Amino acid sequence: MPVYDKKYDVIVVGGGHAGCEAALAASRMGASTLLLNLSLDNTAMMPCNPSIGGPAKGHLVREGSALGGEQADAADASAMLIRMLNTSKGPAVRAPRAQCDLKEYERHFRLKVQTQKGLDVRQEKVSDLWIEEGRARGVRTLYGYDYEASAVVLATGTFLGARVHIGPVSLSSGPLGQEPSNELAASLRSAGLAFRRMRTDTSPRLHVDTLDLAELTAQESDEAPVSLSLWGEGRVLRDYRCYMTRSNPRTHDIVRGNLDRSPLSMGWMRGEGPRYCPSIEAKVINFPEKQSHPVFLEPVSRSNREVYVQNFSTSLPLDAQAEMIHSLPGCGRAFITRPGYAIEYDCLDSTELSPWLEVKKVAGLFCAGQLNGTSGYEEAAAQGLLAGINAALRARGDDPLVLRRSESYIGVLVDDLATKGSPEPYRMLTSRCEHRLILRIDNAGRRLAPLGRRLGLLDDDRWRRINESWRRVDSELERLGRARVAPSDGLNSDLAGVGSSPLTETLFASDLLRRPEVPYSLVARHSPPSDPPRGEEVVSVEVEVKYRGYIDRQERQVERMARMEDVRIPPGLDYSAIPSLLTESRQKLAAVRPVTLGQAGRISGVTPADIHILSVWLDALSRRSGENEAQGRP
Amino acid sequence: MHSDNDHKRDTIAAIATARGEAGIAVTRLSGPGSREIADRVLSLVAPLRDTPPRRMRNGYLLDENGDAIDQVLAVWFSSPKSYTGEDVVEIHTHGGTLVASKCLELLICRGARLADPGEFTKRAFLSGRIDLTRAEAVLGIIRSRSTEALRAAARTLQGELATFASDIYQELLDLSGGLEASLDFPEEDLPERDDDELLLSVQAVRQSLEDLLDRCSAGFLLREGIRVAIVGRPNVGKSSLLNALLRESRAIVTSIPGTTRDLIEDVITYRGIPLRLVDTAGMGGAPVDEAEAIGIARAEAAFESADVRIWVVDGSSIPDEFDRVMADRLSNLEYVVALNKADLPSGRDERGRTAEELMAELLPAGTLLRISAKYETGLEALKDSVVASIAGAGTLDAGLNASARQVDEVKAAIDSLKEASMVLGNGLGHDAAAACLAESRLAMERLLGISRDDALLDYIFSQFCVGK
Repeated sequence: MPVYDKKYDVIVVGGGHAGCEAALAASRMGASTLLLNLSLDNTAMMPCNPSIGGPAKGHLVREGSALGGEQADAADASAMLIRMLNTSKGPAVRAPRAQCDLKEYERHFRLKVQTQKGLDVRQEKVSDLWIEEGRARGVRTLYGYDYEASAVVLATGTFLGARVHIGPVSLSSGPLGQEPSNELAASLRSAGLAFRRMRTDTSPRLHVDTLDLAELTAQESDEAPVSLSLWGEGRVLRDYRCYMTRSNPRTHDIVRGNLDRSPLSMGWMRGEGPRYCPSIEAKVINFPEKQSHPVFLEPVSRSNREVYVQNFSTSLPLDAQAEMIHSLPGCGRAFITRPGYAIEYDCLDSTELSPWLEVKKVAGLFCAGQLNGTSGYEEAAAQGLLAGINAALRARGDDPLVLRRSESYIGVLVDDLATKGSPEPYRMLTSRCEHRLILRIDNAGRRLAPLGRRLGLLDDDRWRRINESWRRVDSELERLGRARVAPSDGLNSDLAGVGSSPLTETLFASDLLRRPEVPYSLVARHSPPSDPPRGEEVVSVEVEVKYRGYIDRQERQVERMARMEDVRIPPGLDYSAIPSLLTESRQKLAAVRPVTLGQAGRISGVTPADIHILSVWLDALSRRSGENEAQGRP
Repeated sequence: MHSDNDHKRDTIAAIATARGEAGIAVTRLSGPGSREIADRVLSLVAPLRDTPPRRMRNGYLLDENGDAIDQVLAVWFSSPKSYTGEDVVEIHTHGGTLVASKCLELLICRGARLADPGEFTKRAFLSGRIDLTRAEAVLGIIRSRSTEALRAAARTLQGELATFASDIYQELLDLSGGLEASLDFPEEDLPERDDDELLLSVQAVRQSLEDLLDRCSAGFLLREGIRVAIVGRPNVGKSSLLNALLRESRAIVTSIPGTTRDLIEDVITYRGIPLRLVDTAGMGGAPVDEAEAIGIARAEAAFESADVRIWVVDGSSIPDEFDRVMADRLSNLEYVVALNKADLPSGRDERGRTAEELMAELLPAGTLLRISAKYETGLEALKDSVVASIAGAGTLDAGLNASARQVDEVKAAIDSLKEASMVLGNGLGHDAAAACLAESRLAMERLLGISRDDALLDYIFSQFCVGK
């Protein structure tokens, strides 16, 4: 194929959640960028439940927003329903979740990428990587040009070698009947990269007019404004609802009666599926004692009449799906508009990646999203953002950006992928974060916005707004530490109202707020600020006062680990030359090639003694090179 | 690379000397807080902070209640002129290994961290006190010390104690897993426990951990001792050996009935370590009545549950069928063979081979010692060999440090549970409670040597049917 006459800084392959974020981040950082997609109509497509956020996933989205990512804004702009989850379980795990209009969401991203300065978007089928001397030089396509760039980001989702299963039928196909990409899969294998096969399932869609919603419990949006974006005002949405129904013994009998046609139980699929998102078949098989599972009916768009059946993914044949659906209360006459299915696809063994998402064997090649063995739009977008940033940095010859586990969920996600890999599609969970109390939604801006600003991803207006917000929080905290609250009948009756003991003497407002049961609003009522904190700033104030002890505790743990994170391991270190390492540890270290001592310590099976040995060895190496320099030797 | 981080280093402690009841045990501290921490557990003529370096101070080691438990000498070495290049304190205790172990425990309670195996040497190297040319030797030391420590840890945490600890871990996993699942999957119908229920469960686990701590404290190996079964055919001299050991020992502690079996245990101490001796008379015989049948069953149990077995063989006769069966049973256990009646001429088979040669053929990997119970010869070597088979030759310090580590982890687990109770009692969020439970869980995983990262997620996904 002819070589396209423009050489780009960055080429992004794939226009899904990861690809769009990568292309936007790179071009916003000033890199000339090309986004190639199989079909421009599937830009930011949501082939599963069009929901964004929830615990851990919502954290990723908010962090992306603080770094100048787009997903949060797309979700806010397209939300049909939005709620704050886990509100009673503490500030570290509360997280917004939006049910999006999938068409609006796609529209938001399509307009953003097509109007972004410095970003070209084209429909092309990438068939081959263009690699020279261990470096990515560009990509080749099936029917168009060869394109050259300084860095390439692959964000091909579930399309590589994709195979869809519905009952005994299986066909080569991407999600929702899209064209799969088999050529690129072969090209990546020939580059010597290790691959895995993974699987995920989705549920049937129903026609909303065939449901009897009146008999079901409705779930509405929150009445207080909620937004996923750090920059949004938050909206209250009242037009759409979700409905809850339940599976029952009859449903489960139908499932059991059809297991001989189930690709899952018959072993017709090789890919490893996610344990946290089991199909209804898997639930019935693995938890036979459970008589009922909750099922949610969720609208997917204002511009169609379809409803997603959450918690009901299946790859049974269509006739069995219909029978199962009809057994659910409210769905007796439901009409299936699209069948559920399972999809198997190729993904990279993520330990091929560095902690900045570059493939270790191919310089300049970055990978993001489901290709790396993750699941979820949020996980994909977060990686896309980081891969886009690093591709742009690489194109300019700058050092890569690594986010630490102690500063972000994105850091935990990428470190887990690069260091441990995952046998099943990786989903972000708050329990994966050892420093969860300091990685909150309310402080995502504090943690990451300065970085986003430095990278050129936050404009002046956003930077000014966030600084104002920090100032409001800080001055209010300072004021609460100074202001005194005197006992009064009004105050004591308010205190009694929240089950708190009455005040007998004057105390500092912050001491009153430190009582777990006393909300900020009560303190502010009796000690009014001149410039009150707004929206989520209130959460920041409360957390800072009530959680200080626990936050300090985790910060001390982070500090203890920091030393290990600062010790860098030279890229070409020869592990076979280090005496006394256990053979298993030596092999694992050589395979993962950790970047820091901290990362080395997280590789499973590498013992603390091996880390001590490695640390002494690194020290000896640096002392030797120091001596050589002193003596003028190379 | 390391110099700018030096100020961040913590203070480490470990027992520096090998075993030996008679001598002095040295417990060593290294790091910026060495003197301060040592002063907290010692009452000296003048505190170390007011003492010039390298000057010995006389004084007392104080327990948790401030009571003196041993007379000690303490000295400190100033950075960089010390073994590790950091401030180093050495505390010389008198009362044998048990006191050294207690001293270490106290230091850890007052802010020191138990040194990782080989860490003193590592620090000496990192601060330039050990020459670059010896880097490889340093790596070897770290590897061998940690191998010893692992072996010692496995030995101190076995049997009942290990079962007890894993049961507690399961309870903790259940509690922590349930809470984590409810935080990560708020829209599922998971069984939710309210604060009061959680608080009760946390306190129950904490109580179990306190019990565990009682049993771990002061060096499990030292407190519980080594259980030694004396086994062999009738009339080979088992009872004579037992009596000889008891006679010869200057310190017979006591005779106590065995807890799980009504056999008499006689306890002697050898270099500060209790040896609990059980005579398994009657083993291998055919019972004539019910009482004897019970006796045989108990002897069998003692044989199985002992830490190490002394197999007494009559050196003046040759092995028979009983010995072949015994050799087979012992081959996968810890044992020492005592060839008794060394004073008599050795038995020989028809081809002229000695009893010793024949035994060596039966158990090629075994330790064979010639003794005479009658004339009390070879007993020192026998006891040495018994202790070495359990504690590793000359490496009891690894055992002591290993049990100190276990104490350390159990205490960390308890502390985190106390925090969790406070969070729940105050009605703070489950996020903070879960964080405390996670810390506690991790401490127990380190104690039990569970190194899988996904123990929690495996538990959650096997227990709860969670969707998206």
